[in-house]
Amino acid sequence: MNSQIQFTGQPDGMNAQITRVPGFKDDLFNLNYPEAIGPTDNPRYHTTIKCSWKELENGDWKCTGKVEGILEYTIDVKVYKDTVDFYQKLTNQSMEIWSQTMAFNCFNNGSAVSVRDHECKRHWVRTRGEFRKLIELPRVFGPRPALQLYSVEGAPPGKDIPFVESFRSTPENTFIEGWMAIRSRDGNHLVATVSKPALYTFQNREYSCIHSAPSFGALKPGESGRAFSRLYFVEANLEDWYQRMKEELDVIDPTGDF
Amino acid sequence: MIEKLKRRTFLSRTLAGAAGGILFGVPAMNWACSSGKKDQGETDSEGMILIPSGIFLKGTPLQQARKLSADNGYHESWITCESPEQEINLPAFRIDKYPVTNEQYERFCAETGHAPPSHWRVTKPPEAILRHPVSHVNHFDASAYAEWAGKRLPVEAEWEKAARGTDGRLFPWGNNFKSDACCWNRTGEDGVSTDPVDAHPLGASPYGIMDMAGNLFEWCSDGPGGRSCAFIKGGGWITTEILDLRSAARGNSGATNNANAFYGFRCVKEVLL
Repeated sequence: MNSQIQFTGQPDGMNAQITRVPGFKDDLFNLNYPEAIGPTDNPRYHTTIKCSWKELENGDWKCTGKVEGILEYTIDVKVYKDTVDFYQKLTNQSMEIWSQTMAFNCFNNGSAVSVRDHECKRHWVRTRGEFRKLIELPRVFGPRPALQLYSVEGAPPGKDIPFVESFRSTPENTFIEGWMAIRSRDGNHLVATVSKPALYTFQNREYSCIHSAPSFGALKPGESGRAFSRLYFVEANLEDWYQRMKEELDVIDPTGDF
Repeated sequence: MIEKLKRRTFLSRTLAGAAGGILFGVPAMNWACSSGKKDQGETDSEGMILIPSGIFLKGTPLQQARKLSADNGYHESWITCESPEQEINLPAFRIDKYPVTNEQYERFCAETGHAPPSHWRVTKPPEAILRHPVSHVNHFDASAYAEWAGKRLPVEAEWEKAARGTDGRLFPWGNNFKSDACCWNRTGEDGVSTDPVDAHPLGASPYGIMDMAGNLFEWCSDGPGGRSCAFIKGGGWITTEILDLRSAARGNSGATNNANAFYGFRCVKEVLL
């Protein structure tokens, strides 16, 4: 596994922490995986989910969560040298057809002093084939001005995703790739969140958190869907990291039986 | 009505031009409070200062918002959320000269049994930060303190008037940004935190209110939607962006149950006639 990164999941909740990340001295990264999960028109929030993290004998971590008679999910975590991978599986245990599903996975940088960026000046995205600072993109003044959701290229627009639309904070006609990155203060490192497939992205200035929300597709009663997410903690410039990320994600099959 | 519109247009144009000086190297005008008074209000026995009734300019003229955005690399929507500039008529009120300090909040906790902020040593704040504004307080903590003190949290309009007076200036002290007039993260480095509430006399507002820019974002009682989110105003020690230290800035907000390290508050009180 060759990793110094320390991943620690909470035994009785959705929270997990990432520490001891090479190049990110003393930074603490908080994860809420997931804050909400399920159909996009009626996701279940963590407050109603029974979930727990557990460390496996081989050093991997596993999270299981359940809402009786509605849904069940698992998240298998593998920690590498400068990435943390999340293999997620959602099962529809309800009697309803879910036409669209998602997980709302929070990557919180508020306690990562070398990275946190409450003003989004070091947040980067990519739209129409170009890297852009997040502050260069439109923003909607919604009921919670600190947060913003963005439609993803190749995915349905935010207005067609009930969970996204409910925030009233998604600019129309703006589509970005399904990842977000934050460059460190020193400019030499970056963290990023990416999912495959990604349904939408999210950021919240209050917590300096970024999300790449994975989609599990449409699920009939009894069906399961899979998705993949990865966090990067790299010493690299944006262009080099992006090239690497594209090559790595190209060969990952999120629908595979992991 | 026409006269009012003419006046407003004049103000908007003039202020847009004046504001240009602050961030773009153009000589800026120094705006006095429209009352013409240079002297600052007297502090009463409760540590509060009277804000007289009357009209003030709230928000940011659209033209100015667009210029600020363009000149600082932002999409205009990050600032036009403050537009249009509006003339708002408020009744007189009193507001705390300083944000609530750790020392004051300690008395509240001791008398009421309210839970102390998480960064204190058990039930007492560290000696070194007694005169610093209390942080790690959520909207409910702040509201509880205000009620205990016989006061309340300000609405955004009250906060903004107390911060920038009546003339639509960008910062409490005028349109030129002064780095030493507030506690902010000027270097963008680690290790910055709060200052004592009286550490930046250059930052006084037209009414003599202190710390309305920087140190801690301050809770307002209102928000853009629902009870789960409230405006936080003024920027804080964590702020690296000068635009976010403007009194009209409203791109931030706080989840009301979030006791953040850069959230604090001050209180207001009605003026009984």
